[in-house]
Amino acid sequence: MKVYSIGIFKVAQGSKPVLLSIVYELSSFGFFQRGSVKEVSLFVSRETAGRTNVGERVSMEHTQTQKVCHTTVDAKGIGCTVLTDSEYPSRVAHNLIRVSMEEFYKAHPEQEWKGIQADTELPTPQLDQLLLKYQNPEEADPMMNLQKNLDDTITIVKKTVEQLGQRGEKLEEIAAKSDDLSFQSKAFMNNAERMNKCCGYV
Amino acid sequence: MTDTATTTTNEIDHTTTFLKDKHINYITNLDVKKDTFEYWVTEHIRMNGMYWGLTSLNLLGALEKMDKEEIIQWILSCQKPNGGFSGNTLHDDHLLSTLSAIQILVQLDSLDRIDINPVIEYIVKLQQEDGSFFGDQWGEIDTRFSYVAILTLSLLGALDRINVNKAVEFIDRCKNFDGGFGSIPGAESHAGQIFTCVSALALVNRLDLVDIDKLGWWLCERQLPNGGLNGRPEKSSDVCYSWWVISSLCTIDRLNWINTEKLKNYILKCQDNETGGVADKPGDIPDVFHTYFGISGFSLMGQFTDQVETIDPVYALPIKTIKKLGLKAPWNKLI
Amino acid sequence: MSSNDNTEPKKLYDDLNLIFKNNPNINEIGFVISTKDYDGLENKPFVVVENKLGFSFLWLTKLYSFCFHRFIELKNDFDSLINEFLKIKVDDTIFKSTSDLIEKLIEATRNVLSINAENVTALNQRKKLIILEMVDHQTEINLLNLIFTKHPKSGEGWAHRKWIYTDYYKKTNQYLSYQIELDVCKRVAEIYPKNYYAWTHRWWILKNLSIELFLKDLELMEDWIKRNISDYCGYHHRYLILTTLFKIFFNIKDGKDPQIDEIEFSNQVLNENLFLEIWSKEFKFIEKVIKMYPGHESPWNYKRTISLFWLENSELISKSSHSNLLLPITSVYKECLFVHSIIQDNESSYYLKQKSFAEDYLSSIYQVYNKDYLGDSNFNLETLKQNYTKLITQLKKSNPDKINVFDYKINKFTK
Repeated sequence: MKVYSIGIFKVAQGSKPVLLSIVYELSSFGFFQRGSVKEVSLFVSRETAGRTNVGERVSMEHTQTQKVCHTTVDAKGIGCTVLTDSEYPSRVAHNLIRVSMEEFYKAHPEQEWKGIQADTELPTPQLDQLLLKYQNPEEADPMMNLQKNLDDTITIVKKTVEQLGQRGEKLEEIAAKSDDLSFQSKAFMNNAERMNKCCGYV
Repeated sequence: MTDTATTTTNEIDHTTTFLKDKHINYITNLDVKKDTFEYWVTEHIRMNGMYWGLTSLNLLGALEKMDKEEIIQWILSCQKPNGGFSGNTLHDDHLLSTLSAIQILVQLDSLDRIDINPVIEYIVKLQQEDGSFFGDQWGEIDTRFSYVAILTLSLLGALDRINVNKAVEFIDRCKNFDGGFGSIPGAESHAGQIFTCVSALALVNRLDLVDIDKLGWWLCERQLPNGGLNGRPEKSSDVCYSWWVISSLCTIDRLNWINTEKLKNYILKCQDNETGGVADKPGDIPDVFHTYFGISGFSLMGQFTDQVETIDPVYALPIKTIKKLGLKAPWNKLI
Repeated sequence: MSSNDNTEPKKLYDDLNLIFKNNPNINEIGFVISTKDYDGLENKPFVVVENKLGFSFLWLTKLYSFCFHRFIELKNDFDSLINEFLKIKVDDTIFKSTSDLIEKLIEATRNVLSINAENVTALNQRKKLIILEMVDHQTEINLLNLIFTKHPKSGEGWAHRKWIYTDYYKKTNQYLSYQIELDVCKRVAEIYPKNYYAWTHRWWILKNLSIELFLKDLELMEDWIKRNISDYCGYHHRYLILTTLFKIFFNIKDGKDPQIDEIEFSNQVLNENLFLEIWSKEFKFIEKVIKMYPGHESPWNYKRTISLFWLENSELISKSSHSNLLLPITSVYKECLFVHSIIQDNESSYYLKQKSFAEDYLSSIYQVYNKDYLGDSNFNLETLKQNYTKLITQLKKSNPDKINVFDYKINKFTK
């Protein structure tokens, strides 16, 4: 039941999302894995945000690693991504997105980020606090309507990562072209499965 | 991860075609690359690796590709003074590698190259008062070892040398409320342990202790929407369960409780189109372990019968070998 | 490829030994693709950051094969020494003069196991060193804790740990700290969920202890389950504790586990009200998990297991002096109501999956009812059979892969 990261991007049609702010919670990973996990998280977040339509709420699962990327992009072009494991309830993740975006807007008015064209880090300490608070969905969502589709307009589109690429692009192909991933991380993505192989001997 | 109907570099579509020749190549090339990390961290269980590779080739009708004499010499170099065999020349003896050694020798028709009496003694001495078996002198207990001991002695015609009733009693204590079996009393039901317990009980004609309906249901719940099987609830699919689960279902005559066509398609996707061999999941790097399990999975399900011979679910040996040894297999309609 | 490729394996080996010597508090091991990210401008064989030791992949194979061969050389020397010792029965001063060999063997085995925890021969050698009191048990436990940071699923490593624990008891008639064992199991289970070995070990330790500690573990694990709701290991562990408490409370000695059979019932520790509270809390707890996290197989499996356990023991409970208090915990009828509430809740996420699990669960409950002991006047058998058949027919439609199973079930139940 883990939330790994909250990311804020500036999303515009026809160009790659620009990173504005991102926080991570990686204590459940081995020390030496965290670097690559960070890079892969950023890559997945950016690619998903860039492929999410305005107003859509997406929860995209990578079934083999049992990880999910939840995303929303608003009309102003701000996209928020939350990475979780597959246990974490989508609804609470999207709640987290909503409050994260609110906090971001409070901390950074539009003039601050409107002209930004390249990745930057606009410090948003509230995101760290939210990341911590939302580790426990029960506490973060005390109404405990974790899994109710109460509001018909809030539908969460569930996708699997096979659908990430347009025209059937495979994840590895997208990864190979991405600047987010160092050679190490690309190798890590290919190796990550091997390192966690079922059958003892590797 | 996405399915493509045809790849650009290869004409053959591995998602619909069984890559027999590529698998044969993959296995025969395994020993050539001796300086990979993988090679080194598995060299202590090379006997198992050899069994997986050799049995796979045997099922594919390509046993002659192996250097029989070289293998036998190597196996002999792994026998220890106490009668047991080690996983590789420099290692300590263990029950697991002893079974693999015997399974290889019977397939090579060369059981007469060793004196089987020390092997029998080695195994008999490992049985404990409560019926369980140590894996070696250091005393680890696990139902895998019960299976291995019973199977090896069955192959050597010496099952009467152990206390079968006690052995059965111990296995029964490892039975869980959900019908499955664990490694020791109280341990969670696990498809791998289920395979060993069910097979051990089959070998001593005590399948009456299995709650077949309960277990069959637990096993068929292992099938996921992608057609593959997992080993426990909410774990991801893995080709090795094509053996552990399917073999158990065959032994209790419930194979039709899963969708074998879907599983077939899953295993096909796990083949590596470039190097041959089968991986645990589609797109992962193959290894000899999963190659064996994928091929024997097809064999148990009676698929690709023009290319893959039949294997017995309990003995984990080709049926032709079982017949040659004159062994009984009441769970198997083909013997 | 880096020019460092020409590094002699022996130098790598010596450097590794030096690292362990100079950093006695290393608490984590990892493999890295390049040490560049942690330390300096180029990729190097090792990196130590904050007491964490990283091995670079580029040199790992070379290093490991050297470690292994060095280990075998030392092992052969040491084994011949032992043989001499056993043959001639000289006193053990023979070992004092070879302390250098022993030191090197300790290093070599540590190096091998840091990279490959499954190397049984290295583990066996360390057992010999422990028996000869050249390595002490606590040190070995500490080494395993370190090894588990990189190899949490090493079956051989866990078997070795059990051996150390058992051997310590044989030698001293005391147990090593069970709290450390429980803590390590928990920590490892966090790093690598659904860790069969860690949880099997946890029960293996726990069942030696007392009813109080069973209760404490039950409480501790509740939070764990909430944070790992799809990890069946945690549920199975609770099943073990609950059914053990059941056996103790009803004085059932079935021979399945001699250690459990030895635990004597004590009314002070496990009185009737506490027993009632534990079991009824558990039923409520799992129902809550199922509702809060719909569509997960593990909580449903667990619910099925404990419900069936309780219902199949209804006869025993009803014949005991506690029947009035305990029987109301649940019944076939109550379980049907629960299923009904789930199926009614069509606003729930993953509704179709949840409904399917609920229906399957209900079919298991009906099957229990089909036994000789009928304790519930809410049903008659004919209605039940009809309901069951209807239910299975529905399940057949939503689970076409399992069509043969369901046909079989209908045939069996309606006979």
